[in-house]
Amino acid sequence: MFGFGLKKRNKVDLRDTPIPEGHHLLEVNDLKMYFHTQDGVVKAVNGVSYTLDRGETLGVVGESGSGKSVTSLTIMGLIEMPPGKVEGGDVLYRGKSLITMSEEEMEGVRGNDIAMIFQDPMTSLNPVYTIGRQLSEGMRLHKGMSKKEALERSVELLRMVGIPNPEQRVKEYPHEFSGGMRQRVMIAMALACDPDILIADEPTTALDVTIQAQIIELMEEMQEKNGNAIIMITHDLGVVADIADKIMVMYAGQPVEFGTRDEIFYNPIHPYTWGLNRSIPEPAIDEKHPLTPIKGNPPSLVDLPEGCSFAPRCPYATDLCRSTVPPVHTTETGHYAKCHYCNDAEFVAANAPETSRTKLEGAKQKKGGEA
Amino acid sequence: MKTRPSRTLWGDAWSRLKRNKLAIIGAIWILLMILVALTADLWVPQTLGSPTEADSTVMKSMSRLPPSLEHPFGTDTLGRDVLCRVIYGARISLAVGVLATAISTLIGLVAGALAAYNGGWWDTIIMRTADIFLAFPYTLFVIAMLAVIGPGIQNVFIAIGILGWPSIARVFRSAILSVKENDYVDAARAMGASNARIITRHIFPNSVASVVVYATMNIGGAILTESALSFLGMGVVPPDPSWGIMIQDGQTYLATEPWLMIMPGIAILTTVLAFTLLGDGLRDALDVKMKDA
Amino acid sequence: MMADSNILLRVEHLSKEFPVDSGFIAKHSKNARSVHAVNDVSFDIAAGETFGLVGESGCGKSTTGRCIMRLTEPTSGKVLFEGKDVASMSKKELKALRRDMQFVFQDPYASLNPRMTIGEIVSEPLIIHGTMPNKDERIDFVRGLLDVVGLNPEHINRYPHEFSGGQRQRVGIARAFALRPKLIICDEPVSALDVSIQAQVLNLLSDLQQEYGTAYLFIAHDLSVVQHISDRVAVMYLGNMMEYSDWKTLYAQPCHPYTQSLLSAVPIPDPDIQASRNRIILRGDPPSPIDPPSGCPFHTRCPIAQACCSQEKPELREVLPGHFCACHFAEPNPIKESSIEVV
Repeated sequence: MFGFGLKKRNKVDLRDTPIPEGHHLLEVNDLKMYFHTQDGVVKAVNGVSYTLDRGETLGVVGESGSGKSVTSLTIMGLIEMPPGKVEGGDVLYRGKSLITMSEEEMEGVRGNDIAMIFQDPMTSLNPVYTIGRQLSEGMRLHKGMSKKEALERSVELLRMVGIPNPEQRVKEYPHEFSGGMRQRVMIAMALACDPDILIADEPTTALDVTIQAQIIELMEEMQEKNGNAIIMITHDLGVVADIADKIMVMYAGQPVEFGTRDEIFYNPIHPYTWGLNRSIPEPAIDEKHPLTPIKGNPPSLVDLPEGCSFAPRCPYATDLCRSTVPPVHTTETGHYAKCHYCNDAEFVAANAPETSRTKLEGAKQKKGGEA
Repeated sequence: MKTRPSRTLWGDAWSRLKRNKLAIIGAIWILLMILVALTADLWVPQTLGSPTEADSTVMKSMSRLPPSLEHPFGTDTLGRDVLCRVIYGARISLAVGVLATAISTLIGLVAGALAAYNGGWWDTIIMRTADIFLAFPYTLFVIAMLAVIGPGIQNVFIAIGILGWPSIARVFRSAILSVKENDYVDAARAMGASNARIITRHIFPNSVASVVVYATMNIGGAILTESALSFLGMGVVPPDPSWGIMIQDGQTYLATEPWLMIMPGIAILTTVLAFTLLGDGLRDALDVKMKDA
Repeated sequence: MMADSNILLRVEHLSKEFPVDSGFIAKHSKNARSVHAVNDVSFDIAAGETFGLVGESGCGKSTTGRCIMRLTEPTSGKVLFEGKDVASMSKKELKALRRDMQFVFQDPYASLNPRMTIGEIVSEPLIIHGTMPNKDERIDFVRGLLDVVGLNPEHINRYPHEFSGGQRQRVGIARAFALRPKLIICDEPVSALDVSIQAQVLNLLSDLQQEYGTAYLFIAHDLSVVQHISDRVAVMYLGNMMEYSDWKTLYAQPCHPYTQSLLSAVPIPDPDIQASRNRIILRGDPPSPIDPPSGCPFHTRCPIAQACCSQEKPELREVLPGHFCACHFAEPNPIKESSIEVV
């Protein structure tokens, strides 16, 4: 990646092409990514769909092996094929398919139009090059900047992400930075080319709570300034409550529920989302509420159960769930879920967990009744 | 326990090894060599003649015959069958490889375990001694040792064996050190297990795999060293057959009767390669970490 | 402190330093540097209670747990288990101690020997202490134990690699409970697990505690998990005990500015609450434990630090009954709205 002959590109930047009418900035349509391994076909991503516009933040929530990371790596064209293979669906960026794009064109998109930051800030920086050199690389490659220009811009970027004394720090090596500082550098690097979309794969999981708060704040600040879209991949519902506009909940390679932040938190309709909600210890002040975990373990992606993938762990599963794959139910607002019963308002009302809003309403009604 | 385990780790390793074709070819070749070498006395003298005694009556006419149906590898200057000598040479090569490695492994295991488990002064003294051994060119060191204790097959075993321990000790020491870091070793300490139990039940079974792999590859190396020594006249004493001696004998005739050198050369090449392939396969198969990847 | 009769474990002025420079000469030189992993930590645990220990990475919470178990030798201080000092125990006494004190590890992959079946793993403590010499009896007991922790007893002959992370953690818990210890030190037992599995394991730990009356020292970085499971909670920062109290008071009325900022930094999975609360975002990184700041270890990041904080180290004192705090300005919610940066 480093070294001789950084080619300057004079090609049209996709970012400057307008989004064709009827399209969004990013559209993922029924994307399927399977891995062909010795043990069988691993259905890592099995029909993911969503849309994303500039300035928006999508939170992707799921447990390990739910396919949340693979979805994004597929969008970035970072999955090795084979063993990976796109078995269906498409990803459109400004109306142009990223799946059928040539590797050379993809290089122009990656890091430039769509940038990514990873979980582990310790291993995502190359230890033998200075921070400045690593920051400059993308800008020289994508923007054709000279060494000097790129270094100047690097200093500016470091200052922007809140690294003190950037003129000095730009000459230092990754080991001279703390974990939180490295994640700041990663964000600076991702934002160097002013991307349309920033994909963040568990950017705060390896960091302490107080540092996590700093990083999330920084990402929000940067978004406000640059207007980029963010895809935030995390297992922590708390993080998406902070930052997301829309949320996709994934289970066993499939999106089981998708909606706005309020819909997912205050009107969830899929039993898996309910289960996640009930599994999280509530920040109680007066008394502790028992946890209601989801029983059992996630299924093997090689050998998915018949019917609904969540049926074996779902407390409400019926014979229908165990035999037939549920259809996707979509409401007018675009809130969708993959469950046989999620459009049954009575079923949802009876089983959905209490939220702070329903509690508040309940209290109000009680008050009203007393008065 | 009452019922059989469903899938043991060794069973897993075996199933992975089976899938590695090159390793299996290596293993089959080694087994074939061992079989031929062990049964040689039963059939070789009757069909191919003696490996050591020259055929005096027909010496002139039998000398350096090219490969034929009767003598598949040809004959040498003294009219002896080359295939016969290659087979008997295999005995010596395999014996040297296995026995010398066994000696190195034994010393290496003890030294490595003492260094890693005791640490401190033990570690410093043992590992610095190993460094000193490794600082000398290996073959020269073996030759020097043979010069002191004299040539001959037993001394070759001893010299190669004794001088080979430092690398095994290093491999075992670092394996132990990395296994020692695992929480299950702490868990055993936390439940009050004795040092002996921790070493035998937890550390040894998890660190021995790397030594198995290294020792397998080391056998090939020992065979090469023996050949080199015999070639230089420091190893096996003629008329006993050894691949190194045969190459040495044949080098004069390389231009005219190349089989004299090529046949034992191929024997060395294939055998060493077989041990390397098997060792490679074992390394991949025994690597516990691969399960989780 | 509580009535002595009830106290199972008492930690007094525990400290642990690790040398930074390895090598013979560096170690013995006059100005050898060391990491002050644990610095004069004192607390006690009553029989049957859960004592939570929280803090960020490198705050010394795990080292504290390991020192109590003597998996790491403490540099100074006392660890009294039922009145006997663990630090000065002989080998024999230590072995007896380890019947009563067990450990559950964070990493469900590294904590089980891959070459042993789960039956062998769970029965190992029984074999070591010779509590159940009859093999058939032992196997029956282990099967029962596997059933209790929610594993299929038929899987007794399987190897750890055949199980998921959550199931392995259940094996680790079964092993810890095999000798019916009085205290189990749980070092981040759920932080490697997924949310839904984490809840299963937390419930299992609570159930087992109710059944056997075991006390837990529960070490974790996740404040909500610690709050959920603990009776009392202690907060550590840079090797020092900053504050401890019963969970309710600590979470509702933290008296230490560090605890308060830590609590406010935890993202709550509820957008309304998240939007409405005041959040304190600490600036900068925790200082290095090799060269800790003078005075209060938190003063470099503290929003309400005064001049005296960098000079004088605040003692851990009882600010409210049963509520201990090491801050010169300890009071409920010491960081006032006026000193919070507007985010």
